[in-house]
Amino acid sequence: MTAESVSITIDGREVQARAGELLIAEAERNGVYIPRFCWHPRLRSVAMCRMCLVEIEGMRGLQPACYVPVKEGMEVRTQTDAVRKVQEGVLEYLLINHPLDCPVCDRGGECPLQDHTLAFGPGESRFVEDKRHFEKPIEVSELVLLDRERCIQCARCTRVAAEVAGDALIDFGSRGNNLHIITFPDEPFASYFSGNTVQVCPVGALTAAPYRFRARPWDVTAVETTCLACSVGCRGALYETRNEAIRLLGVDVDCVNLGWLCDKGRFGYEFTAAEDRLECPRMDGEDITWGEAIEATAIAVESAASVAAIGGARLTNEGAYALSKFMRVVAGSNDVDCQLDDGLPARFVAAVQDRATFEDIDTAAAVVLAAPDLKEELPVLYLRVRRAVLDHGTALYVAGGAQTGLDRFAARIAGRLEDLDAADLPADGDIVVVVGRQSLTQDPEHLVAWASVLAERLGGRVKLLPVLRRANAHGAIDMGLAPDLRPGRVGTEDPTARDVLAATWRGEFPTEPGRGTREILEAAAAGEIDVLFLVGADPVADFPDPDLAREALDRTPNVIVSDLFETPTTAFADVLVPAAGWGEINGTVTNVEGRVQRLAAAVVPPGQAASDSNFFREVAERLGVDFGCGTPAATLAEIRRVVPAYAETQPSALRGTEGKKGVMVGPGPLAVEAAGVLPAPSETRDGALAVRAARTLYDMGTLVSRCPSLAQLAPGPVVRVNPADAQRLGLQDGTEAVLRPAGDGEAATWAEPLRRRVVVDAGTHEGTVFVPLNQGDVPVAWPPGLEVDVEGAG
Amino acid sequence: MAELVLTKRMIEHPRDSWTLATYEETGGYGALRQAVREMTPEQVHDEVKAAGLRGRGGAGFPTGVKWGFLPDGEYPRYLVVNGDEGEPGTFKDRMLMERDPHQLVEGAILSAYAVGAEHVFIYCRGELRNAYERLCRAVDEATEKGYAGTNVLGSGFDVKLTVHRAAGAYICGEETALLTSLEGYRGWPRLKPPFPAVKGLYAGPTVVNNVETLSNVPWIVRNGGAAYAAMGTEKSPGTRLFCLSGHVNRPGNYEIELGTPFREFFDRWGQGIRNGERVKAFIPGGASAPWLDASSLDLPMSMEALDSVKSMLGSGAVVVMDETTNVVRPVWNLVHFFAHESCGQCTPCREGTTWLQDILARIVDGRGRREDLDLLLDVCDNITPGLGWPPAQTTICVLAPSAAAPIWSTLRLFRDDYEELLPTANEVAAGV
Ligand SMILES: Cc1cc2nc3c(=O)[nH]c(=O)nc-3n(C[C@H](O)[C@H](O)[C@H](O)COP(=O)(O)O)c2cc1C
Ligand code: SF4
Ligand code: SF4
Ligand code: SF4
Ligand code: FES
Repeated sequence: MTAESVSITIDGREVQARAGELLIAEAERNGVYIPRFCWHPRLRSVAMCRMCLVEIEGMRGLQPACYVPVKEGMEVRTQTDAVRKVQEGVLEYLLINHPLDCPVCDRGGECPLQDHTLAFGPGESRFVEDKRHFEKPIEVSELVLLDRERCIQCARCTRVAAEVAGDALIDFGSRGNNLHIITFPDEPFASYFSGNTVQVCPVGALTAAPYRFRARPWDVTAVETTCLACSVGCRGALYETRNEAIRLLGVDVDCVNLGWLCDKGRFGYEFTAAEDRLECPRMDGEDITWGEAIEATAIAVESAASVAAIGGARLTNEGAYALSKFMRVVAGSNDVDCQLDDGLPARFVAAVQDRATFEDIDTAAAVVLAAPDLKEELPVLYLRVRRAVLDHGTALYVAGGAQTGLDRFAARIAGRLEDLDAADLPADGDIVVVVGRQSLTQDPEHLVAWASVLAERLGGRVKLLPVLRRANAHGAIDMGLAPDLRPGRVGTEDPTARDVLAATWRGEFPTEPGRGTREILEAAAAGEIDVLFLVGADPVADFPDPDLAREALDRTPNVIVSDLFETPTTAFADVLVPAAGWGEINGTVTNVEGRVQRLAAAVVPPGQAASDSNFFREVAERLGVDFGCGTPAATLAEIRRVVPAYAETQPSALRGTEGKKGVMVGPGPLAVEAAGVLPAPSETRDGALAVRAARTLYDMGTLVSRCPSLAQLAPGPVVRVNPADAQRLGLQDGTEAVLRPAGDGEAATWAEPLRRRVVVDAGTHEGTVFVPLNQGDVPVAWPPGLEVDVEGAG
Repeated sequence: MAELVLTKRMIEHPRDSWTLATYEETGGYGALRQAVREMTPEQVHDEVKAAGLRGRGGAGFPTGVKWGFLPDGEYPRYLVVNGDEGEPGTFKDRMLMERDPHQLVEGAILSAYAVGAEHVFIYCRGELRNAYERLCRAVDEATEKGYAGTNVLGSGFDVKLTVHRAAGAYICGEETALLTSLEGYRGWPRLKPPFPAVKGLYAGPTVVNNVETLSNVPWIVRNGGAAYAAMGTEKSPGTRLFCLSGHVNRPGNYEIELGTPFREFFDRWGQGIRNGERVKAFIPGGASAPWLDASSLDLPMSMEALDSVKSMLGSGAVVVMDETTNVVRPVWNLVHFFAHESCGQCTPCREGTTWLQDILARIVDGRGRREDLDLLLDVCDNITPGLGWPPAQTTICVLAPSAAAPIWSTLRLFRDDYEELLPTANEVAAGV
């Protein structure tokens, strides 16, 4: 969509502009900055502040540049006396009631009102009346505070909430001079995207509770980086003062995040300052030196017959590559898996040839969500799909039983995957199918079989977007952290890829597919694994069969864990090493689309925490392997060499303005094979309810629980039940329910039934209960197809 | 003296002018019967154009021309009747809605027929309960009798009427704020373009007309546009209902032929100035109009005459002040009204009108400063650059320029009144 180019005259200079675009934007593209407060390029124009008024030949009076589209031949004057007078006037108006408490305002030093006053404002104040007063500040949500005296009524926050997030929970109250931002008495401003209001507020009226009074803008430095709280990979600027991360602001990249962040990403930096970070290597609970940890690990690996590794999805590409190489070259094992049996078959993810990008969603005729609730797991992707559906008229189809934040806009909701077929979808236009594990109880093989059949039936019109929520899971798979893959989305069996690798990876490495997480844990439980690496992985909490995980860890003689914090799993560690994490290390990551972006360190890791790459390199060197990978840059250079898909990831391509888009990874040699005929869906037992067990944005997981701003927001141990089911079962909102596996028990054996507080929720499909995971109670097993009997607690 | 177009029935039938029976007995709904049976919509439209009828809501825009702005072939279309009358001193639409609701209903149905609107919304000021109830009743009766609803009088024309009771904000009289409020949102004026004719109610083509404007339409259809145009002046044809208040002996609503001089209006209809005083100042057309002084008394009450002195007939509210008046307090009163009614979207209006009000309040209170007078003008100038007429504006709607008009017009004509209120040098020194 290239807009027609027209010539317009601005202040006597002829320039080229895109027809139909707003004058304020086109002027700026041509180097003429028209001052503004209310206009924001990502929001609909309201032209309320009146700061951007200009003269346009042939139009009566002054016109708001943020509202007028450009036309061929338009003559614009932005510098006349009349324009200047109005600019001064508007600034004077804005300042008369402004508290001017700049010295204690978070925005002081980076405030458009201050800057504009200097550049366009009147020299002196003529106002001698009483200023407007409000109690200040007030809480509009757990994360956002509002100082109504500083508000300039620009409606940016209300528009972000309503237009972008669909959470119209802040609005204006009253009118005229008393116009002020309010929340609704019975409905808090509970939005996963509330922090964006702070980001767009042009003054210090909205402040983020965690940032408030923490720093002055001139004391901070910022690095551009990528959020890793999920795999969307939003671009952000991470700010630091005195070696403390203090805020993350969204950076506007068209093809990625449009400037937005979700609150989990925005406030996720808080973990870097957590008191209980692991700071020192430990062996059997005692602090040791790094040298001792490396030595112990090397000895264990050297003498092991069988080495396996689980995890790596939280690593950078460089870290994941180092782990992948270590396992293959040093440990001689393909028993590696970055997933915890909670995602998709890695081979399917790697084999998708025509992978959809976020921008494909913008232009698709239809989007099919056979995926978890994007709002909970990939929040900023949710915003984009929402925008496509609402603003571009994209048809939305939801399949597979997950309720999603977008259900009410769906053209069709198919409870079972089988109920949606190619014939149900629009006959023309591109179709993006988002495929992701909707529940731990969903059989992932069935999901990808359905997706591949659908894709085959739709032919060239379809693009798949396989989604794994965890941080850099997609990068980890690209780096070969899967039992049947090697770096570059190639199978372990692929002879060509083997030759390419062999040139760099000197020595032997196995060609038979290894074991995935479940098989590794089963083997370990049978005493068949000598050394098990757990890299940022917590199977006791996250693997769908916690008993198996515990048994496995218990029986493995050498459990070597690298993590940021103690977790239920670290209790089993023989060697525990403190990892450096997001915000503390440099490198690259690959988002769900396959977009490689830069990760930048802003602060120094605490204590002796260090990157995982270092750890694996040191162990390798100790075992006499010339490992390479001395720095992230050297590792990336090696990745470019051995992974053809990553050949374009030169540092230069990832930096600067061009680099904001990142580098898209090309497809590998694998291809999705259509499964042919689908297995028939199973029928639900009488009275039993199907279970959807999945993540919510906030939970009591390791990282979120270390972010004080976020930890308070977890829903806690609840179970969501459809009102019809609740009525049938006599369950009331807020009461306790008891869940037991239904049927003869072959599916699951829970030592104890699960007790959870009932939330009656019309969004949950009838016949299903939704169980948010990681809510602080004891984890239970979630076998495929699990159904439960639910009853009130008494 | 011309015929009475709007008020004949209520004058002759003071007790029951508002009932259907009286309305029908006095020829009511005859125009509608005639129109739907014998005239095409275009012909009705043509009569209104020929009448030269101009809007009575404030801006005086020619009604027939406005109807012509609806884009061809776009349906559904809406007709919205503006009965939000709330400007200080204006109380004519209330009388038309209370005392002759069927005249308005018939006018609205005829107009809907002319413009092809399938739904008429009558937006009635919330405080006017009696008007609201009588309108509702009139609409029900008209629908029962087949004047409205499906297949009006067997003609195949369908029109539905809905009376909406507003929630009491003056700004909702501004047509786009009205539409937004009718849709159920906060009553804020919209940015233009698009104009309501193109994208109005529910984003459909919409005509918004004032109560009085549409109340003329039955007469015009019955008697022909030419008969209407024969009254009044060339550019301001017909009669108008003026709301006369202030220092006259007999304030009230009077329907008079346009072109009548103010002096005659005050003397004959208003029966002179109270206590035999002389006129010092008058507001010729509602709170938004620039004020005039006694030198304009011989001006004919026509839109063109008011244009020539840079003011307007506006909403038809005429307020007279005699020579005992200091104008600053009434000016403050109006500015206070506008500041209070500002919707608050636009910075100059939200901040500026309150600032103006505060300065005026200080002056009235004897705490003015000499520099306040120029400050007032400059603050006005930032709202309505150039202080001219028709007003330029830096705001979305003209409420803010309306607030400035009384100030700059009186500072030109009656600056002495302001100075009189300023403390003398001695008072300032003494700090009293
Ligand atoms: C602040 C403001 C208030 C207004 N209030 C009214 C009103 O109460 N009634 C009315 O008919 N027009 C009012 N108007 C004028 C309307 O916007 C519109 O011009 C009018 O209803 C058109 O009808 P007409 O063409 O029949 O005059 C107001 C305009 C403004 C700017
Ligand atoms: S709080 Fe900030 S963003 Fe919201 S209206 Fe006020 S100034 Fe604008
Ligand atoms: S959507 Fe994902 S990547 Fe983006 S800010 Fe949220 S957690 Fe971070
Ligand atoms: S001028 Fe005043 S009333 Fe009109 S839109 Fe602007 S703020 Fe609202
Ligand atoms: S930026 Fe154009 S009116 Fe606010």
